[in-house]
Order: sequence, then C-alpha cells, then structure tokens
Amino acid sequence: MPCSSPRRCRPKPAHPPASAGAAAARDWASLPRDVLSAIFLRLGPCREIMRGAEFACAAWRRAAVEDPGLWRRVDIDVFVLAAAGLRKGWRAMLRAAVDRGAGRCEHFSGPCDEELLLYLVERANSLKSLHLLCLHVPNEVLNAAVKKYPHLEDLELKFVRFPSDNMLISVCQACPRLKKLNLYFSQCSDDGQLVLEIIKGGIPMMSELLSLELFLCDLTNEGLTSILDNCPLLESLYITGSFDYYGMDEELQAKCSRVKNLTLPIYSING
Amino acid sequence: MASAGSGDEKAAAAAMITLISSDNEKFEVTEATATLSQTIRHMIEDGCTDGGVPLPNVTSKILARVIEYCKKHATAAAGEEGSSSSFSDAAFLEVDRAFLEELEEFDDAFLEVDRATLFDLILAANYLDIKGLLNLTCQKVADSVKGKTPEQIREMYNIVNDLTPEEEAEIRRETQWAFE
Repeated sequence: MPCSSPRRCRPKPAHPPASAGAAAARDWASLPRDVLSAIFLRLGPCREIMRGAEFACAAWRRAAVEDPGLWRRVDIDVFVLAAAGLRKGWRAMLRAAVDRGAGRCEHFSGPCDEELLLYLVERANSLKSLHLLCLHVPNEVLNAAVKKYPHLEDLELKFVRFPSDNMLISVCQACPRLKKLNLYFSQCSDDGQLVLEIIKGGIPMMSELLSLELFLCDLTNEGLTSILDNCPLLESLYITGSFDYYGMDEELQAKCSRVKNLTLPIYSING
Repeated sequence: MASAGSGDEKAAAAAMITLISSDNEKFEVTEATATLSQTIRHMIEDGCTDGGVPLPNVTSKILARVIEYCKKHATAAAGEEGSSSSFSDAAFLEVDRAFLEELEEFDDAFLEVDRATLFDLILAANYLDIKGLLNLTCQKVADSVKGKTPEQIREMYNIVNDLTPEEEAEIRRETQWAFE
C-alpha cells in the first residue's frame, strides 16, 4: 500500500543506526536532549542536578542549563544545605536556578534573605507556590513581596518576625486565591514573660482556602471566629501557641466542628 | 485497524505486525503489543506496515527486550480496561493489585541489565516513543546518579569531562557549595 503521509511513515532519524556487536562503551554524553531532560527531571528538585549531573560534561551541562522546564520547581532543603556544609554559596545557586527557569518557575522553596527575595520577585513572576525560610527579612519586605503574587495558591513563611503587624491579614488581602497557608511566627520573651503574635479578627474572605496552619500565636476567640467565618472551604486548621480552649461558647464550638481536621492550642499564656 | 474499546478486541489481538531489526531479524507481534510504541501506532494508522516495519535504529537483541516489555505491559493495559468496565468488586481489585505488584517485579527484573544495554533501551524507547519504558529506564539512570559527585558520574558512565574553562568558572560562581 502506498504511503499517503511519507513524513510519518519514515522512521525518525533520531540517531545513527545501532551497530550490532559494537564495543560495549556507549557515549552517554550524546544522549538526545529530551532524554537528558527526562533523566534530570527525575533527579528531583534542583539540588541533585546542581550538585553532580550538570558537571559531568558540556552536553549534560547544557541540557541542565538550557531547559526552563527543569526549573519549574526550585526546591532546596535547608537541612541538606547545612549537611553539605554550605555557608555562602546557596544564594548564588538559588539565583542561578531561578534564572534558568526563565520566568517560568512555579514553585520556590528554600531559605531566603532580603536580597534573594527581591531577586525572586523580579525574576519569577509565575509562582503558584512559595515556601520561604526567612533569614532576617523585614516584615514590610515580606508584605511587599507577597503583594506581587496575587495568584499564589500555596504560601509558607517561616519565621515571621515579631511583632508581625497582622501578617496573617495582610497576606490574606494580598493573596485571596490561597488554598494553603502556613505562617510560623517568632516568639518574644519580655521580662521572662512569653509574648506571642496575637490573632485577632479582620480576616478577609478566603473563598478557596482549604488548609491553614499558624505556629506560635496567641489566638483569640474573635480571631478564631473570623477565620471560621471567612474561610468557608476550610478542611484543615492547625494552630499552636496559646488559646483559651475551654472559654469557647457553644456557637464557636459548633463552627469548629465543621472543620474536618482541627488542632487548637489547649493552653493559654494569658492565665 | 484497531478500534479501541468497541468490542473489537479479538480482531485487534489477532492482527499481527512484523517488526524488522537493524540486523534484519523479523519479529511477529500482536498489534496490541506493537501499539505501545506511538511511532508504530502512527505507522499503523497511516497504513504503512505492510511488508513489515523496518527499525534501522534497533538491534535484534534490544528489539527482543523491548518486545518483552511491551507484551507484558500490553496485557496489563488490557486487564485494566476490563476491570474498570465490568468488575469493581473487592475480589477483582485484589487480583488487580496482585497483577500490579507482579508488573512492578517484572519492571525491576527487566532493569537488571548492564549500562550499555540500558543505554540502548533508552534510545530504543525514545525512538519508538514508548512512554512507560522511557520513564522506567530514565528513572534507573536518575537513581544511579543521585548523591554522586561529578567524578563518580563520569566514571560510572564513561563520560569525558569536556567542559571549557569558561564553563567551569561559571559553574564555580553558581554553585560554590558543590566544591566545598
């Protein structure tokens, strides 16, 4: 039967014919680019590529650097950095990873100082997910940064400086599309007295929020009511710190019972 | 022509395709097995398979392994279709699970090959566009590279370091930690 479509009938000339009985050695540097990308993608988020594979040879290096698809997720575990004895190189590495994403980075997770955060805001504007371990980042810089990401779906900030000037509220205002929000607050000791971030009312409507975690805060009844009233889809609420657990009225208890996974502090620092 | 999911399975299973390796060996396979390869699927759709499908990039040794993989996974695909359409009880799910475990064991055993064979399998999977096999083999390489230094990787895969001094310098700037 004659071929109607010679383009598709012809086998792809992807590489020269394999010669049977050739020497056992194969040229791994010559793997097609898309195959190398597939391998690198399976190495996991950036650190594995940037630690070994991309230094193997020029072809592997180019495959790692020139495919933005490999850098949609930039994910560096701070404990891995510490274990690798990294002290100063991590900023340069994360900047390089963000650059390679060519603006298409969707998930960033790693340690971050003010300088790197500003770099990120400038270069990675398609972020859907942002997890930061904040290293001396002033709260106004954090606030300004999240305002650049109104479409963010997943945000985690560790450790927000005390006092945060209502970081919870400002983050909710800046990112109304959040599905998941984790805030780790710093605590403060004042004359031996523990002082925590106070969660009051005033949470804006978060119509897509499914999961909220607040670490080390002083939750008020008003604050909890505001969270429950304004997050209609909330399935999981996890709060540590201080709360007058046994001071909840029946109405608030009923609201709490609608949340599938609920953990609240059972001790109060306020006596 | 195979018509997926319209009760033509018997006819499809009966249709045979001849694959011809680079060293001119002929392999008769069912259409269901052959069409795990998107490249061959397109050829069948275009009616270009009469007289056999020449595969000048694949040796008989590798083609035999690829067909072994496709046969096993084609059976799995057929099993999955059957289970979702007519059975849903726990007993059948149990059988399904057992079969998936068996498939996993098959894949593990399949990957017990030397590096040269792994390389050839990757190129064949890429050329024939067999997604599952490409995933499997690429994962194997990725796992072997994880946690290794550049020197270890070069040694393992017989790679010559041909980075230019400029590239080396750039790397050092970007990722100083790797060399600490």
